[in-house]
Amino acid sequence: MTWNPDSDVVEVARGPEPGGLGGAYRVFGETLRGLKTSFMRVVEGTHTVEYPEEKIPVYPRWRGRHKLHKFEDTGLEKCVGCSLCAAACPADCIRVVATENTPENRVSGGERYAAVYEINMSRCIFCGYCEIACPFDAITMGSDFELADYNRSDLIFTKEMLLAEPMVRTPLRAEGE
Amino acid sequence: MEVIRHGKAAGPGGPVALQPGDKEAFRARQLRARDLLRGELEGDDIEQHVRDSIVTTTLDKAAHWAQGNSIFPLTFGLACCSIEMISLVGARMDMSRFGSEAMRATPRQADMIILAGRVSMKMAPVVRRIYDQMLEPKYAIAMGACSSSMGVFNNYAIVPADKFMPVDVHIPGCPPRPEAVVYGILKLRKMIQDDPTMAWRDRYRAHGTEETKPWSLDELEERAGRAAQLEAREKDARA
Repeated sequence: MTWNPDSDVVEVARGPEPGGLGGAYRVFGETLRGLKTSFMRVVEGTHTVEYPEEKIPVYPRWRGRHKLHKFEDTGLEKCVGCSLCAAACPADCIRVVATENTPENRVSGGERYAAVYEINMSRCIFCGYCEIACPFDAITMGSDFELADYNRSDLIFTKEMLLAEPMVRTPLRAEGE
Repeated sequence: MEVIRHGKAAGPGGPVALQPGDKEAFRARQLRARDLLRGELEGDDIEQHVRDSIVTTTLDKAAHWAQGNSIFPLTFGLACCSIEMISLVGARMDMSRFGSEAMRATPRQADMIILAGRVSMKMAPVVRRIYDQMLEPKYAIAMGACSSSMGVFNNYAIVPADKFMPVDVHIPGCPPRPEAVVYGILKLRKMIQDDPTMAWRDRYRAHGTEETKPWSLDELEERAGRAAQLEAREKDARA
């Protein structure tokens, strides 16, 4: 519509009248549109994992608490005390003290064995370099991550603790899951 | 309706009769309670009074139960671990299930500080000050390798948390996954509820160092005098 300067009549475009059903819709319509998103999430259900009772299975490549291994047939330790893991460790958390095997006291498959094998779990960053460095697959990363403790010195894991079959507290994700 | 009065429960032979010493013992208890209210109870009597009132121990247990189930953490992230800490309050690892309802943004409302990340030498006094501002009972969790024992940062700039403040639970990992942190918090809850003597005041034998409001002007002056004495002694030792 063009404005005619000669005319006395001026047409004014007004907004909608307040009140009534239309007014109510204009007030609450947008709010409801927003709430639709909220209510659609309610239908989806909860995402909370009830952690101590129900655990998310970890992936096979998840790196958790370390394990030391033995040969299944002979029962000898796989670790020969070469300290390659300690050399590879970026956090310097592994301590290995190697000793010679003797015919009377044969502990490992190689010439030497680890008399002391300690991992300071509070220093460890779970990078898995020790696992890669190990030439005999003596150390691998397990799946356990529940390691919190009250005392820092309790977090230094000894060879016996690492050799023992760990309590399976963390479910492992199955193939293709 | 039969009303059974306390202490006179109906046995097989009717109400139990009072024993000869009962009345005197009751009177002694009554007098102890009166003296306690007057503030005159001292020494062995007060010990006996505490032993008599079973309510205290039960109340203690209830208080510890309540404390363990309402550990409010402080919003305090130092480094990358704090990203995992943030996810604790998310939908998946909902920390409010364990009573850690909301992260408090002021140390005066928090019960627990999660040291999430590396603490540098420069940050250590700040962390210590924040910890000192928290109200008792207070707890600290060192989350991740850096804050519990420096982790990969084996250098001059980083300091492990328990070198400058009492830490209750250490959580290994780099960073620990949220479940591991929840495990640490549950461990802390277990400590509070089962063995409250493991809290820092008992571990460091720091009883008697509580900062309390002085009750009178005399006490305030006495404290000021003690502080001056200590200061003088330190000056002498330095000289």
